[in-house]
Amino acid sequence: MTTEILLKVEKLTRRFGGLTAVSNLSFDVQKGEILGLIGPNGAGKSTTFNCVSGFYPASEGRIEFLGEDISKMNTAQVCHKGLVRTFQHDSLLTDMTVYDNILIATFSTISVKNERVRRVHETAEILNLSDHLQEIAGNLPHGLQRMVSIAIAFATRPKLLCLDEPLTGLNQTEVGGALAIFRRIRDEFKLSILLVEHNMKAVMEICDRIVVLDHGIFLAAGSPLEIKQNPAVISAYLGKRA
Amino acid sequence: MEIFGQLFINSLQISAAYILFSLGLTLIFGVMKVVNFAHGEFFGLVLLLIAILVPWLNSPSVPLVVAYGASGAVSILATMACGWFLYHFAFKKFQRDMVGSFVLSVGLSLLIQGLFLEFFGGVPIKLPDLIEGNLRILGGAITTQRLVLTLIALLVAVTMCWLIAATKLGKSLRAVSEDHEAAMLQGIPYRKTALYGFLIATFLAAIAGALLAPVTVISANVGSDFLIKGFIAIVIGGLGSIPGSIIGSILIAVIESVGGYYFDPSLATLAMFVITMLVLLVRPKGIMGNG
Amino acid sequence: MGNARGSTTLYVALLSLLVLGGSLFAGTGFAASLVIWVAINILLAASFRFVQLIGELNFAIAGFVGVGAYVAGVCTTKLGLPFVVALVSAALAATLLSLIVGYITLRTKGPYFMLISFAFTEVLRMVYTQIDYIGSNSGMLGVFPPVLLTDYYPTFVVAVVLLSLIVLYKIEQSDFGKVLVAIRNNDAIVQTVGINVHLTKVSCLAISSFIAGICGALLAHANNVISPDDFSFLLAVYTLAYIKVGGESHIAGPILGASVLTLLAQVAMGFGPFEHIFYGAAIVIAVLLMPDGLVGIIRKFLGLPPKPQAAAKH
Repeated sequence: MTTEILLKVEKLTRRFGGLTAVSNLSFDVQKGEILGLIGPNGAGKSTTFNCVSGFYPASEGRIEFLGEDISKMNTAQVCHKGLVRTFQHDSLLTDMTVYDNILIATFSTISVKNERVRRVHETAEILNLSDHLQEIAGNLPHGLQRMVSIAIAFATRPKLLCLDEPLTGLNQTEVGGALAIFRRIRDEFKLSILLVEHNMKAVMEICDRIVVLDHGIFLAAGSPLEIKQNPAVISAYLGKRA
Repeated sequence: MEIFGQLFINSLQISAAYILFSLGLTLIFGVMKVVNFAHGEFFGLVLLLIAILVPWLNSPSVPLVVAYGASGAVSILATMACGWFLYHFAFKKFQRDMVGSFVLSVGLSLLIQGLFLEFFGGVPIKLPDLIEGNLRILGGAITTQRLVLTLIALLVAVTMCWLIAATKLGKSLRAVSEDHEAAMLQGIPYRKTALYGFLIATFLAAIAGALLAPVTVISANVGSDFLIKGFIAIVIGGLGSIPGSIIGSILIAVIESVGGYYFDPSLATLAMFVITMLVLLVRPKGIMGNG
Repeated sequence: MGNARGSTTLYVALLSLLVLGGSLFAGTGFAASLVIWVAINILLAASFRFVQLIGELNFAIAGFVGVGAYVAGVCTTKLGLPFVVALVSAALAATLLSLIVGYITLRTKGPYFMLISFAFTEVLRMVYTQIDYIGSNSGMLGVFPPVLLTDYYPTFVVAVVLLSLIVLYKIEQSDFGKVLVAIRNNDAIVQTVGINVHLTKVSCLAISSFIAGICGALLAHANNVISPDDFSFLLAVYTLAYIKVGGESHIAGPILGASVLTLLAQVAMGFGPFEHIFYGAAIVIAVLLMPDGLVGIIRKFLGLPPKPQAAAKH
């Protein structure tokens, strides 16, 4: 049984002036999996994320989504192909209602007004936002704001949902709730998830596979158990903490 | 060959004033991230005050030189006071708000020009020459006073650049310009630095006015003509960049003198605007702009 | 919510009919000119405000008004075309120009877009002075509305302005309007969910410019004489004054601001330097003391919550 590859990153390199943030990185995301992208600070996770989602182009390398080359596409084009991302900062439309935040995300994929409304309510229900639809997004507590930013991306019903540190600032209960939502999204909607996260416990709990970066290069990949025991990974993290 | 000499001399003259002007504009932008559309009015105020004071002071007992000197000093001080006033009651609230400060300064510029027109009237004044005589340099003709004033202007500009490069205040100004948060973390007092920057810029515009008083036809809206050119100069050179403002000013001066000689002066201005648009589109940071 | 909407629509409809009816009595003298000035200034301000929905200050508005005015003037005086054709051509010409200019310049944002727009207006103005066909510096004369409308021109202008305001308002309230505000709030997110932000911005400018073109045509036929200096940066600054005084957060802002300022300027006998002082002071006072303009003051008066002003992210 072959697993279908959704996203294929090949020899990705990204430079900023004289600094090479990511070098020769290759990995893939399989259909139906939750893949974690981790690494110490400055490892190049955000850069990889930004290149994959079309926020800026790669300096070298190739990004393939469902067999199609998306290396030169911008975020809007990539969205139409089925890949959407969230943001770590400035992640929602702060001065608009939660309803409008999610509604905006439905325009590119749905043209019928009734269906848009339905999509908004359905999305809000899954993200536990149904009671907050008429509130201004910027006034919500941090945990709910995170849910809104995920709701925005999810409302496009992508094939690959790229989450940029979605659990930052959430307490343990909220993290548990978020992880349950990720699982539900994956199972019910047949979505795959690419997750960049610092919360190690959550990553180990939710991810099917993990890719580890350090200083912009590929360090290791494998199941959570394998990664936990990988000596190179351990020293990379320990080294940073010192 | 003579033509080149003349054009060179003309460009030199024009650029001296523009340099002083745009140094101030770019300094304010760099330090406060403020787009001060009313900067020209400091220049205008000095010119207008001198235009009123010189004829009033000048008499057999008060030689012209003294009249000019006294008027210049008083006008510059008065203008600096206005600068301080505007900083405290207006621009301080709009620091780092490029759009808000632009809107505010547009309103101020309109208001101040209206007041100038009201108090000064619409009749332009030409003050008597301070120094008589003509010279020929490099094949170009120039009046002695223009040469002297140009040299003084360039001297002031060079002194200012030295000040910014070598003194502690200058270093603070540059640090705040580059990264105001980092500068504050290093203990540089942002508020004071911004105030000094604004006052220095006001002073530069004021001195430019004082130096140009003997050679310019003074009217109520003389400030805005200079302002537009000054703006173009700093946009092309790079908003916030001192060397950029100098390069931009020289470029504007050359276009103005060459364009004015071979074509219509308004075509030269048109060309400047088009270049400005192109720079803003292709390289918004300007020729010397930093990231 | 439905009932409140319904009654607001009723009030607005009644008020519009009242205003329209009132304008029939304006006659042909000074009162007529005043009505026309106020109406056109309101529409100018509304057009400028429409681009503020995407968070930009469209100082190029003066340029588009100028194009509208000159195209309408040429249609009426040189080509002898019917008034309606002049009006529509003016709007279309302004829109077409804005599509080209917008496509290029809306790649920039905030202060850079502002400065480019300012430069563009001045370039256009200087270009007009070089073209003899339209009278260069002296301008164009004899731009008169059709004979049938001569006595009712104020009413016609008011009707066009009312209609345009309703259209602008409807667009602002629609889903498209929401996308515009979303772009102002955070355009990276809007792009991420698959919307072509650039083309949306260009469309916004195009709509605003269509209206600006109409303003230009109406202006040309109201003043009967147009010259390049009518369409300088100053026009944009006055428009900005109407908005700052009236308030940006609601379409009533341009209406209030333009009405109040235009009428006050008349009361204060405006021509010459006093006009500059007046409008300059209006902007300074509004910016320093009334950030949400008259609309904001009314909101406070009525005890309504202040509208969250989605500040543009630059």
